[in-house]
Amino acid sequence: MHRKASPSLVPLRPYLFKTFLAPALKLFEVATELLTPFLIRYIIDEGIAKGNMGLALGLGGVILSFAFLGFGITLFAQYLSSRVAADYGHALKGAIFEKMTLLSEGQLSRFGKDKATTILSSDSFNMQSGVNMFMRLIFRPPFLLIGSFALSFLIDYRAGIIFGAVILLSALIFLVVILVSPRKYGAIQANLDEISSHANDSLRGARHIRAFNQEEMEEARFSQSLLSYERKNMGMAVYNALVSPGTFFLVDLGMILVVYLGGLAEGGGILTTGEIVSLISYLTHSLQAMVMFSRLIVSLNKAMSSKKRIDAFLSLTPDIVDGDMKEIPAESKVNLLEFQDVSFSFGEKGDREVISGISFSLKEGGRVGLIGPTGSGKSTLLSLALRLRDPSHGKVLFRGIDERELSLPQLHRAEGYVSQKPSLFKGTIRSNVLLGRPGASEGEVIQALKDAEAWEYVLKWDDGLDHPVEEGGANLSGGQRQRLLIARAFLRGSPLLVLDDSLSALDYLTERKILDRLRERGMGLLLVSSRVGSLRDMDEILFLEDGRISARGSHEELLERSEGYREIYEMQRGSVA
Amino acid sequence: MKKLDFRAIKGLIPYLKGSKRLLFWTILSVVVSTGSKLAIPYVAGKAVNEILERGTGAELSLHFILMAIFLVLGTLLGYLFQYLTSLIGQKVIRQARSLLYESLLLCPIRTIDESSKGDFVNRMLVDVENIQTGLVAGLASFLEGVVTILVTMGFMFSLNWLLALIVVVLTPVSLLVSRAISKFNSKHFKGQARSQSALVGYAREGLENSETVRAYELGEERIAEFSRLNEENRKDAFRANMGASLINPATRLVNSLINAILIFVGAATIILETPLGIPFLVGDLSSFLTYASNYMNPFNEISNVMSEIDYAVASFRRVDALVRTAREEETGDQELSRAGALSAEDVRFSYVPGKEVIRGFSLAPAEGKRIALVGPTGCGKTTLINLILRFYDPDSGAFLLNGSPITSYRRSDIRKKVGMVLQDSWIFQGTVRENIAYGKPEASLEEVKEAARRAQASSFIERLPKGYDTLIGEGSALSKGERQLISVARVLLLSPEIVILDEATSNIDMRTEALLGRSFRALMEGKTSIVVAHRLSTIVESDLIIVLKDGEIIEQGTHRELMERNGFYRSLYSAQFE
Repeated sequence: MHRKASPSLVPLRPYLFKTFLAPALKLFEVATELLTPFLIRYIIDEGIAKGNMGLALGLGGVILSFAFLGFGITLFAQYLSSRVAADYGHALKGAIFEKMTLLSEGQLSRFGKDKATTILSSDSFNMQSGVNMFMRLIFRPPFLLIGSFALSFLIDYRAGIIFGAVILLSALIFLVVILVSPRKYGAIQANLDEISSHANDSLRGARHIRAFNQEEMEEARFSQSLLSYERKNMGMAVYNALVSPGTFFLVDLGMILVVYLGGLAEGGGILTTGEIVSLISYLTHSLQAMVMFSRLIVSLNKAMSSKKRIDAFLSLTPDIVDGDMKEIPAESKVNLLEFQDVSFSFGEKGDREVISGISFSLKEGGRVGLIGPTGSGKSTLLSLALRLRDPSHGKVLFRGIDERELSLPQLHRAEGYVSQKPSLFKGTIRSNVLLGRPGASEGEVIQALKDAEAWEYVLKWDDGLDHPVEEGGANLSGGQRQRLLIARAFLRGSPLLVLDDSLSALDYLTERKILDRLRERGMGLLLVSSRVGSLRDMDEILFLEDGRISARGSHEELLERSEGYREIYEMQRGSVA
Repeated sequence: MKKLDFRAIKGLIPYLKGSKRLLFWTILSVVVSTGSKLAIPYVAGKAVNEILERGTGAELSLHFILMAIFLVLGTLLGYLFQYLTSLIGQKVIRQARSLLYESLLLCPIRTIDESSKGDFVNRMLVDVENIQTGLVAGLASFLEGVVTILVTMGFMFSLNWLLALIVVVLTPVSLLVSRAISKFNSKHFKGQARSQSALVGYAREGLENSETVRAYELGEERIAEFSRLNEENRKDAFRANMGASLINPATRLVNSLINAILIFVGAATIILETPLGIPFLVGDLSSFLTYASNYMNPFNEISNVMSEIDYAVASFRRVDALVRTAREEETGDQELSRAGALSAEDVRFSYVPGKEVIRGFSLAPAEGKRIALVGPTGCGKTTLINLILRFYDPDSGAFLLNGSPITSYRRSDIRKKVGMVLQDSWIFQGTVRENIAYGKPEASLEEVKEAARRAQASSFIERLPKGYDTLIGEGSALSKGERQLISVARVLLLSPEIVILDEATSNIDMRTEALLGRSFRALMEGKTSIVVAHRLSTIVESDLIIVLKDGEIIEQGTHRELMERNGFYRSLYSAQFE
């Protein structure tokens, strides 16, 4: 049977050799550690007991050189494991981030953005330390155990049997923990996601929480999640706490039995003092090995549940992919953008269609406006035009070619877009505008800002273009943000501009100026607006209701044909008059 | 004896709330269980001696009964210790997250506006867990280590003071080695935590704007920048890991050297038969060697834990810095029974010193009036709302309520009187019903439905899979307009004395807006209201229209007065319908 490697482990592949080399090297250290008690037995029984100081000194020298040799080799192994863990963590985080950029908005929302963040922050970290612990500890404890067992058998078979029993029973304790933990850990992680998304909500809604005086309620709700997190963790701790005292019990019981055995046998001369000392030393080694092993298991357990989450994320395949055709026709006599009977639903077939049977076209430099009640599917229609989503039925054509066949980067370059959200990144005014077309000159940036009616306010800052912008433009007003986003789209200079109610925070004068400038530049425009005033000059206005075009035409035509449109217009006029 | 960051540990005290009694039991259990565990080799050694002396064994002597008692005691209390340590750790996690959350709720809005959200969440998730593994579990191991060392020392001195002295004198060598390494590590751990957090913050920002990232093909560029941050993190991670992994082998090496010395000296004392008045038998040597390794092991353990503690201290500092963020102070506690007249006297305000955004805003006392704020984008409308709701306070001048500056009331008292819809609508993880009933959690389903109906939101809500019980949140597929309607319903459920609408309908279509108009009129009936809108049709009926530009009032009056005046307002107004 051929199994595909789990995606979270793929980044480890280049380091596979090192991954097993390091633990293999550690075997040398184990060997030196195991031999030491064996030699000590001779020092005591043959050297001390018989007064042979020379033998004792010689063997002592051997022990010491073993210690140094083991140390040197271990250093190299530790270097390897630190290196590999860091390299692996690096590659894994890179892969996660790349996946974040490749997946479509729809996929990210479905998966959960908070969950994706946790995968990058704590899950990848758990995997990284899991690999580190694996390399450092995977061979050492079991070989210490097995070696101690074998050597104790050599000393006395009855001691060996006691050993075997101790090891088996300890393994049983570990088994319980290994079986119980992962199941509990999944629920704990789910709870952590809840805490994370609550904290995110509260950060975004800080003003709302205060304005509604709901601080206490939020705190109570949050405490509830925290309490449940604590309880679930303690449900796991009940088992995890067994490991250390349980192994202690078994090992010490073994030790007592060895002494008792020595007592039984001393008369018969089976176990010498040296043998007892080295047996006890082996038992102590075993105890240490088991403690180490339990630490490894806790860490690997954590890594395993993180691995599941990372795998689930990494095995998502992007649903919006590059087409074969790499070139977009420079200019064409056919339409710039055309929708042919396009429908879209979010989920499986049979789900409610958000968009149904939409057909329209937009010429080079043409302008189409969309208006309609909230929830009528305007934004979804735009995301189909931008190929942020693919239609469930029908085609979206750009310059006569199905968008799914076009090269995605080329298509995106040909379509400027301003979302409803203030998509500004931490940086400066300059860096944010430059995202429209990296490499543009300063003059071009300034021109774009001027065209977007933003230059005036940028000039008011001493640092002008280098004025800092916070995440999401938190330090700017709504109108400033929108104008900055428009400037970015201007700089892109694409033949089509898609605006999703992106002028809503601007006053009418400013909006008018910006729209005029667009026309001067001959850019095609697909505009969603809730203001009739903004739409008057459009070549065609689509009136959307429940995902369908309920009426279409120029402003005048619509006034004549569509009662709904006229109603909006009249209401606006009426309240004015 | 060991370099521990005591200040950080002392700082931990507020996080131990509710677990102080547990702390006592933890310490008791670790002392008794460790003592019992360590008594076993002592008794075992005596048993060996006894066996050797008598030359026979077989019968269950008192020694073996004692060992059995110690074994059971050590196991049970050892379990208790483990369990309690987890419990305290979990309580600290809970308390730390709760304190972080509290500071999020109580810090000035400015702090939140200026901070990175990804970073905050990272502290709450990752750093807090680090505190548990490092500071709590770490300190527990530390405690266990210290108790072990003390008890072992007692047993060793009672067995052979000369050997004990050698152990005690030489062990610090292994300490010095690990201390030197962990001191070196501390800064790498800090570096790792920092670069990790930068990484996550960067990714978060991209996730939140994923549509723009795709439409602008920012993927490659962002991957490049991420790689740079990631590369930094790789270096930090390697250094931190390498440093941490040096400690164990280094101390193990030192310990085997010490062990070798012990065997030689021990052998000598046995062969020489009671030198310096030390009675030392072969059975004693075996228990002594057990103690010597028991004595040194905790040092290993401690040095192991030290690097975790270092990492945790770095995390703790980051958490504690946020927890200690200045709380918003109340500036007065005058009673506010009824929100009467609202006025303003020469209010001035700047977000950044020297850059005034509001330049002398005044308002004659208004009660039960509809006031509208209009003006070009960026003229300071939203800032004024921020000031009235006291998200920020003016640099000079004041808003007054009932003739007293609003700073003389408690913030919550003012906000209780105000119902507002803010520009950026907010939907949190919860059902539609919970979202609407946010300001009045006790509201019945009927009330919620009624509010939704009046907010024109009922038709789309009823089409959701589970109606009012549908779970919604930041990532759900609601449009901006739908989110806004839910925010409107939230306010319609309340009966505030002052109503503030900041672009409440900017993403809502005209028809819905017109229908909403009726509900808004009913809400504002007889109450003081402040409406910000650029769709001027919505504010023509206002009692007072204030026209702002660049933070200054340039015109004010009723719609008719302003139209007659033929000034800025008129040009704004005509632009809409030309």
